[in-house]
Formats: sequence, structure tokens, C-alpha cells
Amino acid sequence: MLLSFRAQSSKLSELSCLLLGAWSLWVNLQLAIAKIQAIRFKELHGPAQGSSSAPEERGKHAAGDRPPARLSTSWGREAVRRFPAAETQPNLLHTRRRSRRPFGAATFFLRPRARARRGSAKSPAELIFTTPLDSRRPATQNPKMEKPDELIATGVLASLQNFIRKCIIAVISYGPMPKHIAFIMDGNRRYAKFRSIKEGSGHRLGFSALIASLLYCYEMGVEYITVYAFSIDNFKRDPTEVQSLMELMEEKINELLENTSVINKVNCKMNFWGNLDLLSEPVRLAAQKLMASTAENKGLVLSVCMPYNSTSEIVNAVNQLCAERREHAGNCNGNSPNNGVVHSDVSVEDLDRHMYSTGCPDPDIVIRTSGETRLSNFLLWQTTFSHLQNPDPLWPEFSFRHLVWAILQYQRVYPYIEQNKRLSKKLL
Amino acid sequence: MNQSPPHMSQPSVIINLTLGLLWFIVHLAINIFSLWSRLIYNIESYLISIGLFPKYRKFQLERLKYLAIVVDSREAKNVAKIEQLLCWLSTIGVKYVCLYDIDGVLNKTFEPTMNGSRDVDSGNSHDVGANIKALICCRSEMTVEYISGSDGKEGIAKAANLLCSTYFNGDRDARGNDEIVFTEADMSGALKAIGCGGPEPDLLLVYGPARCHLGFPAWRLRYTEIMHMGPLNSMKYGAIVKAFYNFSKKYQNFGK
Repeated sequence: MLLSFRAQSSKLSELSCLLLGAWSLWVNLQLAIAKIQAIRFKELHGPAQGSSSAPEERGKHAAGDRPPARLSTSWGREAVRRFPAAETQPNLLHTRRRSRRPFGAATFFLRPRARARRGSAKSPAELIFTTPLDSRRPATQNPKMEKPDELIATGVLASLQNFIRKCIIAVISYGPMPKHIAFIMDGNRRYAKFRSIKEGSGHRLGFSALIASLLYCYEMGVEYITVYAFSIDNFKRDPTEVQSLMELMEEKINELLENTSVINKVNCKMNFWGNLDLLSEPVRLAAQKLMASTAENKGLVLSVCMPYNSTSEIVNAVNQLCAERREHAGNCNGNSPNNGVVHSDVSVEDLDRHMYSTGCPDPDIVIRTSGETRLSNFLLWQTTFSHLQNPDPLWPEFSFRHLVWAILQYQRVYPYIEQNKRLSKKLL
Repeated sequence: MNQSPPHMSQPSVIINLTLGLLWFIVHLAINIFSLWSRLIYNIESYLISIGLFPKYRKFQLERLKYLAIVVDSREAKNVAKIEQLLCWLSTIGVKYVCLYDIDGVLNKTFEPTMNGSRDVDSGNSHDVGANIKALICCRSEMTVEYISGSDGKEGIAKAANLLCSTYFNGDRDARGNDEIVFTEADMSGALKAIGCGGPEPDLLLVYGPARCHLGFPAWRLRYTEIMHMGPLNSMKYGAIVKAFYNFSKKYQNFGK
């Protein structure tokens, strides 16, 4: 029996009120989580400092327009927990550099208005983080008694955060979702320089951001992810930096081999695209081992491009195609492969079969973080109809909300892109 | 048995309707915000075009040697807009422009006018095809090249065909071994030989609803800055000036 229209509309309005209430609760919870993390950070680093650990950082907060309070997401914390790095700062507070382009007027009320400050006026979040908390805590309070309460509070908050995230994913999944997202993970070194931490830490935080993005994409139903980890041009960098990057890659690949929880969770199949012969032997062997161990997985496909250039990929495809034709000609003509065999002209499909990306659909979105507008020789063959995006945040700052925004932008242009794809197929 | 009980599907219908309504509201909000952004962008472009901002009057164009423009094929049929765009670029001082659309509409539209004016003096040094012309308009000289989707992936396939046929028809003993190792330099040479070897643009402006390069030749797109300008029908002179100014502030380390 059908419900009446009035009953349906009242249910809809109840649901919308519930969602609005949940959203406002989420904002308040984020502030509470930040406060708890600030307390935890203080305990790790001593009561003499504020939540901005070093005096020079506090000076930077005062001098620059750097708002302190941006909270990490639950997958970000999970990524750092599963892959602890000695050099990773225990600071789970994302501090954000000033963005050239605002995320959007619609999101001003989702986070503290810390960006616009020039003078001494502070937002409530900044007051929370910069006011010495010791003066507000009773001296007799036992720090050990706080921990179980903190854990319970954090667990409840994390569950609520997960619920809110699932609601957001359910809403955006109503529209067309991308199957393949490619990331150019730009900005790790700038992030480390900006935060005055060791350069290697920027890359480590970038790896944590990668794992977090992988898990978010898995939740959203994205089937293929490609990341630009290392370009052939990057070998021109300082040899010590290249060596440290190679060691980091080997360390992270070995961690993924030993700790397969993340891979098993998403049933991830790993690919390494690029000229692996240019890598040092330990890294190459580790990469080949990881590819072999995940070859049978049927879930999300993560393709890591290292060391990779699109032009190098095209030349490699041409070489393989020629070798295939030579072998075919040799099979046809016995000992004289060059005698009188007429080959058909090389077609686009022939080259497609020999690209590293064969079997993967073309990327729907290519995201380059840090606001740079070039592709830097990444997937030039495959990105004919890809939506190119260049958000301002640096790669270690890339989080769930940036991913949601990227997908919403893609959904806006989806009809145009699909129309172009259909027209080009008709012409072929 | 074949029909699910109606009371079991109603919650899912309601949930779907709710999600749809929320999705629609979110996109409506984004569209309103983008309209607002577009309005501010248009006002800014107008103020730039009347010369209100000193920094946009004084930027340097030395780094911009080659400019490429990708146009949506449906919008490329608007010849008047294309001519106006070329005139603006010539006024600003651009010397070499490469116009691209995936379906070849620009080639077909401008090809009859090119047959009578094949001044390829500036093009020979880049070994481009014959589809360029020297445009003298707006009191300054500018070279214009027209390319299409057939110069993209198909051009690379033709170059690969040339390399393979050279290998199979050439003297294998000269190579010394059986291994086929073409290099990027070989590929560049093959592209030039078939007429797809134009210069790599420093900046690519995309005119269309979305920021997609729509198959611009991959070999020329490696380190090109790509900027989205919006639809061609609403192009603004101030927006081009702003794009050039932003380009002049860019720094590339080419992987270092």
C-alpha cells in the first residue's frame, strides 16, 4: 500500500533535518578531536610548549597567515598507525598553507575561519590551540586516568566520523563516479620545507596520504588508481636525494609485503609501470615480488609509475610492437624473417596493446596537487578525455574533502566528456 | 513470487529519492557558487582589459615562445571568434600559435585560405607540415599552425609505422645485433619526417566547458602549462592577459 504524499514529504523533511543535525555535530566533533590531539601532542612533547611545538613554529603562526587547526581524517590516522615512520612528526594536525583559490564559499562554514586573519583576532579554534592548556587543567588531575576516557571518546568520535563519511559517499555516489583516478603526487618537498621538517619526512607523509587516498577511493568504488611516484627526469636530482627516495620506496614496498592488511582490505592488485631496469636492484626485486604476490587479487588496481615517462612508454610500446612483428614474421618465414613479409600499418590499437596501461581504462580524472598546471610527461597517451584538475593543497595535505570536491567537479563535466567520447568513437 | 513485496522496496525508494535530492542540492549549490565565481572572473577580466591593474600591463612575454590553443570542435565552427582571438593574441605580441581541435574543424575551415599564402619560412625550422600560414593582422606578424586529432595518436602511429618499416627494410647488419631499441630521438625524427614534429608549446589554453586536452599531440605536451579559459563564446581579452601573467610567474624545474 503506498504511503500518502504528506507522509512521504514529512519523512523526507525528517531525514534532511537529521542529516543537517549530523553535519553540525560533525563540525563540533572535529573541533573536539583537535583538542584531544592537542592534549596528546602536548603530553608527548612536554607541557612547556603549546600545541605548535617549536617556538619558531609559533613565531611562524604569528607572522604568517597559517591557521593551525585542520584535523586529520580517520584514514589518515590509520595510515600513520599502520605505517609508522620514525621521522614522521607525531603531529596529526594538518596545518594548511594559504590557498590561492578558496575551496569554495560553500565550505567556509565547514572549518574555522582561520584563513582570513591578518591582525590579532583569533578564531575559537586558534584560541584552543595556542592558549596554554596547563593553566586550565587542575594540578591534581591524574594523566593516567584521562587515557581510557580519551580512548573511549576517540573511538566514539571515529565511529561517528566513519558514519558521516559513508553518508557523504552515499550522496555523491548517486551521480556518475569515476572508475580510474590518476594522481600526480606533487608538493612533498615543499610541504617539508614549509613545515621546516626534514625533506625525507615530506615524502613519508606523502606515502601516508597515498594510503589514505587509496582507502577513500576504495570506499567510493573507484576501481583503478594510478600514481606518479617517480619520473625518469627525477634522476637529475641530487644523488643523495635520489638514493633516499629509492631507500624509502624499498622500505615501503617491503612494509607492504610484510604487513598485508591494507592490501588485503581492498584486495589490491599492484602494478609498477615504468622502466624498472633503471631502478636499483633491491627496489626492482621488491617491486617485482610485490607485483607477483598481488597478481591474483581482483579488487582495486593500484598502478605506481616509477620511474616513468609517457614518451618513454610510447617508445617502449613501439619497440615491443616491432619485436612482436619480427617474431611473427620469423614464425611465418622460418629462418628469414625479412623476406617479403608485408606488415599492416601500425594502428593506434596496436600501440594501445603494448602500453603499460593495457587492460586499464583511461583515467577519468587526473589530479595534480600543489596547483601546478602541467602534466610533466604523465599519461599523455591515455588522457585524451580525462578531466585535468590542479587543486592547490600539497600532496601530504590532500584528504577526503579534496577527493570529494574533485569528484563533484568531474560529475559537473561528465556529460560533456561522455559526449566527446561518443563522437570520437563514431568517427573511428 | 516474481514480485518483491511492495513494503520491502519502499524504504530503498525513499532512501534513493533522498540521496538524489541531496545530490541535486549539492550540485545546485556548486553551480550557484560557480556562477558567482564566473561573475567575479568577468569583472576582473574587464578591469584588466581597461588597464586598471599595473601588474598586468607590465609583465614579460619572453618565456612564451610558442602558444597552443585547444578549442572544442563545436565551438571551433565560430570563425569570427577564432579570428578575434588570433587578433587579440597578435596584439599582445604572441609570435607562434598552434590551434587544435579534435575533429579537424579548424583545418577544414581555414584550409582554403591557406593554399594561397603558404609562407613557411618560419615553419621550416620546426619541420611542421604545410598547414601553417603567416598571419598578418592587427599590425604584427604571427605564425599560425592548425592541427587536429589525426596529428595526435594517429600521428604517433604513423611515426611508429615509419620506424618499423625502416627497421624491417633497412640493413640489419649495420645495427650489430638483433635487438630493437628505438629511442625518443628516433621517434622525434620520425614525427618530423611525417610532418607532425611541431615545436612544443610553452602554454596551452583550453577553450571549452572542461579542462581536457582532447588528444593534443602527446609528443608536444610534455612540459606544457595547461590553463582552462572557459567556453570560447565567452572569451575575454583580460582573461588571456591574466593567463599570460600567471604563466610568466611559473617556475619549472623539469624534474630536478
